[in-house]
Amino acid sequence: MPLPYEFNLAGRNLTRHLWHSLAMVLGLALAVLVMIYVGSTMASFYDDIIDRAVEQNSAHITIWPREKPRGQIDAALRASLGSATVLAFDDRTFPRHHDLNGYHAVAKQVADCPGVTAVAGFIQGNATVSRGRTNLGISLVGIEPDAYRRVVNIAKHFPDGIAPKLGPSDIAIGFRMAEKLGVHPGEHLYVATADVQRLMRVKAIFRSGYYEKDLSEAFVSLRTAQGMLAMGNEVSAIAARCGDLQSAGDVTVELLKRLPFKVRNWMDDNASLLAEIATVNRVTFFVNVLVAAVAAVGMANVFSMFVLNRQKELAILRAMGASRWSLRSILLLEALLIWLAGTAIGCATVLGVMAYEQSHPYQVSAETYGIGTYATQPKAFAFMAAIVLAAATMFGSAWWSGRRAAKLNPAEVIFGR
Amino acid sequence: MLLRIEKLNKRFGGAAPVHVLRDVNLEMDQGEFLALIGPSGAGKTTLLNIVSTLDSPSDGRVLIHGLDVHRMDQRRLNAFRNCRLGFVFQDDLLLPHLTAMENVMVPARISRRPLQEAQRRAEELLARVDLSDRTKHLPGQLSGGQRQRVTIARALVNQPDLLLADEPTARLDQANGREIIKLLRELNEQLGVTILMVTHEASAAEAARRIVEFVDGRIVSDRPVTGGGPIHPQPQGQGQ
Repeated sequence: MPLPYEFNLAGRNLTRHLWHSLAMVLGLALAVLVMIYVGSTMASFYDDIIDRAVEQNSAHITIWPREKPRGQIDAALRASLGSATVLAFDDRTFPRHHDLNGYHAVAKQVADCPGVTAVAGFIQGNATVSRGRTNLGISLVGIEPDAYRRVVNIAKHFPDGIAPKLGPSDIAIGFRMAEKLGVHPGEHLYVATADVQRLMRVKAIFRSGYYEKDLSEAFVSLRTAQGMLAMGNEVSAIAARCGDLQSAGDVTVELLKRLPFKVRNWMDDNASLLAEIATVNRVTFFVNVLVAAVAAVGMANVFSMFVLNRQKELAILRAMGASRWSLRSILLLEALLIWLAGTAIGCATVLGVMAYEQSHPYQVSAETYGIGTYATQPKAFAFMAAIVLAAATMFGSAWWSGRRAAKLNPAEVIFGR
Repeated sequence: MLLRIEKLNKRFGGAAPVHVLRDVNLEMDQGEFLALIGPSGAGKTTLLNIVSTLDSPSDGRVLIHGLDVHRMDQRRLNAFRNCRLGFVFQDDLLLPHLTAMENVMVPARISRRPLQEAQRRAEELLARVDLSDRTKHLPGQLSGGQRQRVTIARALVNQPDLLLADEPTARLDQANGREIIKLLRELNEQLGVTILMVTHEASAAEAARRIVEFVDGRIVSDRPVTGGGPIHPQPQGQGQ
């Protein structure tokens, strides 16, 4: 079935004004490319930072014991220990008297909350490590690697992406700590808490991407930490993972309803980082809006000039009985062809640029951003937004030009009256 | 009666209007070849534009086959222009990016005629105007006379009731001008095409069967080219 004559005319118009058409196609392609690239870059950057900050370094949600007023603690201690010993035992025994005692039951309650997919208890306490004459104050983290890696993807920090199994005398330390102490995997160092000092073997060295963490955090097994920090069978807190990262806020609210504990989520823990990202995103959005606006005005101008130069041809068609809708259809079809070509070239080019970045990622400051390298990932929403904006620009221009063309008085144009 | 123009007036401008047509009455039968002549600014082209529906009268009526063409809605008017009227302008006014064949087919395609039928008809007409060997040429590759012949073929592709020609030889040299007038005459005689032609060239007007002379927006004479006396006498007070 032959196409309506409008297709023929639209195609011929574009090929006849080839340079003009190519300029419009390339202009649109460039605008699409910039919009997609800027949008995807910022989204990728955000995703990478969140992945590093949340997925690999902290839990979506952490349930902490409430900080009891000192009077309550004293009363509990006084009841069990007698008033004379309260001050001496206060700090050390506090963990054993907080309300996460019997954490397995609490962990089960957390796991039963809708939206929670995994839970793991962990211990966090202060310690020092020493080797030779070098001493460092560290944060000693006790975990059950198998359970904890289901909540926080720590495996990514380790060589080969595998979280090590930690025996009673094993410790995993950050690479900066290892550099400071001059230790390598398999070598030994001393770890001291307020209660004990132990010689431990460096089982693995990790790179979290965070300066502080790589310098002053060490993992030991949960059982080892419980022993060294005098925690008995208890934990400092319970980490939980949500099925959807963004649902952590809702899950937090639900947990607060169900449990009498302090519940913090990754958004609370990274509030300043998120605020900075939000500021950057606002600026990026503004830049994208400007790009879209400049592109839209530019394309509308070029297209209306394109149409203005062909007023006589459009008037001839009107004189021969072409309807206003028919003229508009010709212009809309031209816009469609330019849009198809422009978005296809823009999308293909930006995909090419992103593919290149994947193979040659940028180096960025790990200390500043927590990520060492960076490459833009294609983001569907950025593609969709750019394609829709390009369509709105082209079809808007064509519709507006078409309206003007439809109002032409053929006699005025043809006879110049 | 194919065309009847009744008390047609046209004024341009606001505060000091220019009265271009004054109470013009004119009738044309099917198969006629009428030449409108007169000096520049007499109102010939304005009358043609109004008949062709490209312009509207200030008052008065234009009836084609009894239909008041200026009372039609836009949709019917488009169809009417497309199927009932054919246009030959002073400039050839072809679409420059279409071949001669495609240009001729445009009115047929606008009226959504099947492609094959439009092609067949365009081929016939291009053969009729002696351009069978130029069907695939773009307007830029044709001479002025050839382009005007393509325009005539295009004007006839939908077999219009009335062919309107505005100074069709104005941009052509003498030889090509003669060819075009001869072609119009042949089309009138052999195919019975009704033609209303505006011209300021006496020789071109002599090819028509009837000459109507315009001066200052009025018809001052209306006479047959051969034989004596006007075919359609003017009403009293007009054309004197």
